[in-house]
Amino acid sequence: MTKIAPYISSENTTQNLMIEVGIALLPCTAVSIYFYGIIAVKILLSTVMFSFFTEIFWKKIKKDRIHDGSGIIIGLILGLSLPSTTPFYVAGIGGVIAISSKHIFGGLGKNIFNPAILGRLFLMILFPMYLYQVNNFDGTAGVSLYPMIKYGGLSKIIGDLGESMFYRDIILGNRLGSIGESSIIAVFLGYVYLVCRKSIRWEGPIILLGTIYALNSFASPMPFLNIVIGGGLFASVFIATDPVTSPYTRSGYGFYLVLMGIFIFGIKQFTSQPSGITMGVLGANLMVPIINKYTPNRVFAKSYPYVKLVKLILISSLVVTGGFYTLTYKHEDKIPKGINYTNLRKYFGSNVEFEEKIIEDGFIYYPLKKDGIDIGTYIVGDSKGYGKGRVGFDLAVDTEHKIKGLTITHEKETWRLGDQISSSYWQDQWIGRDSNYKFNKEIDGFVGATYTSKNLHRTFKKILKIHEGLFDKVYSGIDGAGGATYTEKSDTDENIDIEIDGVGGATD
Amino acid sequence: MFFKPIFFRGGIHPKEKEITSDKKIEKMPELGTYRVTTLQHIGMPAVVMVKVGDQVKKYQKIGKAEVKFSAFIHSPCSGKVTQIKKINIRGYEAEEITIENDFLGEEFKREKLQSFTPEKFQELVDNLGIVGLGGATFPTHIKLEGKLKTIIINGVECEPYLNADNRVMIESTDEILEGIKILMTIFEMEEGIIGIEENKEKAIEKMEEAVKEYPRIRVQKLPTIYPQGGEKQLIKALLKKEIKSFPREIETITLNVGTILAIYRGVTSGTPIVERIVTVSGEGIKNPKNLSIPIGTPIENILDYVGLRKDTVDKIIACGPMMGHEIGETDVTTKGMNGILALGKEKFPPKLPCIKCGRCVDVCPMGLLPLEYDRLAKKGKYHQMEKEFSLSSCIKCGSCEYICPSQVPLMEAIFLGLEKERDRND
Repeated sequence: MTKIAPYISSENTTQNLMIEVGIALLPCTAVSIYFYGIIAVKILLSTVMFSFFTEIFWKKIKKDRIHDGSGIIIGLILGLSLPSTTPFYVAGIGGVIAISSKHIFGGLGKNIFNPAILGRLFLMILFPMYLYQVNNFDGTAGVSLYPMIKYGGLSKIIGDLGESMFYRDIILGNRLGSIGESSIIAVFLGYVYLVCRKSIRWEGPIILLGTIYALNSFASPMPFLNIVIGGGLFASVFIATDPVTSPYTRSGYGFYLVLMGIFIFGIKQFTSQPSGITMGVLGANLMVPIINKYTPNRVFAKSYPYVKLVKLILISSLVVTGGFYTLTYKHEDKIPKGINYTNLRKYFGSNVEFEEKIIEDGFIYYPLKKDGIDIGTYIVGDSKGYGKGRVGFDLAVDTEHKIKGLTITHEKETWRLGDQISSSYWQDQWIGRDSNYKFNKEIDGFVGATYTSKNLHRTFKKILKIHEGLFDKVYSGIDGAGGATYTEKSDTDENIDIEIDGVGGATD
Repeated sequence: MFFKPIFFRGGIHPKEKEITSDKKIEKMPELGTYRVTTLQHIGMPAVVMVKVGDQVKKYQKIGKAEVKFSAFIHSPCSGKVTQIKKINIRGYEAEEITIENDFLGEEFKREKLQSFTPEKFQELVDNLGIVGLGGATFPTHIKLEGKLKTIIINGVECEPYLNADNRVMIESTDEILEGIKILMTIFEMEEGIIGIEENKEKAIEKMEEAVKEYPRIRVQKLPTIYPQGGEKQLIKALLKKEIKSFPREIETITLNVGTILAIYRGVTSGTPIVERIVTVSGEGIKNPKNLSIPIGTPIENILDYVGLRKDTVDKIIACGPMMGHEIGETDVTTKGMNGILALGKEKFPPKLPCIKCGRCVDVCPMGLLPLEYDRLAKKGKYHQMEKEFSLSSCIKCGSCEYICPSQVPLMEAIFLGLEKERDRND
């Protein structure tokens, strides 16, 4: 097929792009070799060599002749993001993993995750001793200053060095951390070069670092340190701006970087990770297909798709709040299965402690405690309804054996007759009633469907009777010393069991 | 770099190759045969009005516009019709009329404008077969309808190499302004704007000098960005308004400088379009020139006239390098052909997979996502192109493929998608 228009093409090519990134990395490489000497040379050489040969290996397998040079760049970025304590063979393994991950996803342009960062993640998991190590607080050896900031000890360093010396070292590069981001000036030179060559969008690093700074200013006394230490600077210029794993529209790009900033901050602040760069970048990479879908540009003479943007914001806030919730919520694992947490919180509030559950006559009793004091019981069970279908309910009973709350969880009663038990009005009626309550047809029953509520009343009465028998001793002691323990109750369990059974049968 | 004045979104700046910007328009000597096609415009082909063996005069109608969306075709010379054969132009059936020149120069009686009313004026423009000479070849008489408030003259010529409009502006400044004045009087328009890109300094100078006499006409200097010459982009740049499909929505008419010159000549002397200014340029041409060429001239005669470097030339292109199409030496000139370029063997960078850098998205003047079209075309999901990524908004400017660092064939995907869309609608 003959080529169609355009018959001319711009001079920038993908290879040139890679070369430009390589040139931009030169100051960082030079600084790292200056400060770390032979160690840095070893790390960089091994990552680059291993990446290069892995790339050739994969190209041979795929019978692809064109070399785009991305392998070398990925190796270089990976090497520069490693700390100086990494042995060269570990760095080499990282290079192999990085390039393989790229090719397993389908080669250049198809990888979801940034290869260099994925390689680094593997090394963090496989060799934590080299990548997490913090030797001592005087700054002689260690992976990064970041853990020291996070776990204290920074003031000691500043005190030892003096504030001006400390900041001078941070800017010029005489400090710990990934070998590539030793010097702020070197990273900045790379940034300026890339922006001048239009290889990256100039606003990228500013948005990412701005987000991290803004979030840290709430949580940390020195937010500036949080953006310059811990890989954030290097990542913002060379890793977050990777074209393949970032969205293609400008608005999507900005959104992606803000999201990445939130992830990085969240992981640093709420997890055991010393710095959240690696995980944060990968998390944001995962969101890229969604961001691409919802942030198109405004088409000429059409209105901006605000609905899509709102959807995206909703989805990502869901992700962020979900992640935040899982990271910060601590009691969830203690809630027994089968309890509806929403109902539980409605009746007893949060921070409830659980004790051993008791199963009586088909009903499950969960005795609850709050700050060591009994507050009531949460009962899950079901009852006969009108027909064959069962009615499921959650019942909250307080220490005085009165109903504290009722929720019908499932029912299959007649439409508009028996199914009115699902209404909150009917359910709220039961609050405050005890086992002596007499069934009132006028209030509790429905016209044409008294059986449903009658059966439920019978079941509730039975439960309350059992409840009285089970917990009478325990709860009566509350007014006094309040020291009733669970062991006493378990001794009496069997006796009560028999006794209650009899009563329950009589009522029927 | 960061804060360039934004006239419209996106756009690129291809390397300027204005080889012929200082070359005066020359008249090409008459030839023995002309081959005129009946589809030189957008719309339905004209119907042949002559038979083989007929004697025709210069300016005589030989193709008839039977429907509104069509244009008349006129004979470029006096002579005899020797052959009428069926040909295929862009998928449409059309005819090619061969006229043997007798060099007598007999002229057909020219029409004159009878009265200065919009209806008569429109009829005249229709009869003279005037179409948009900027390259789109939209029949002009359709534009001259209803209430019009603003006239925009397109002197942007944003494609590299081309200089036809530039030279017209320099050499026929007064005629253009007279043409604008006539149109503004007939249609009672309020404002006239001439948009010129800032790399055509001489044209701007001359136009600004001449425009001083007319208080309601002004010259607007525009930055050099491709595709500013597109109708939608030009209106956005000049009036800051976005049109959906036609400028009539905002009571505006846009005309190319060549078109307004043709209108002026048609109104004053009744000359139909039988010749146009063509830039013959490129690395493969010995003497690049701006030529006034009769419509229907075979390409090989033109190339012979300017001299072709057979060793360096790779392909011959009609119109500009961004939106043009490849032509053979047997093709003929048409009304829309504003340039004939013999491009040298350009070494294209190797084709690589898309790296999703988003440059095509940034340069797209219509705010589309060209890389998605390539992705969908590879999967064969053409129906999604229109549904999710509004393919029909594409103006086919080719900016996305120009800027692509991986040489992804984006235009191929877009044309394929448009074709499939048309097939489904039929």
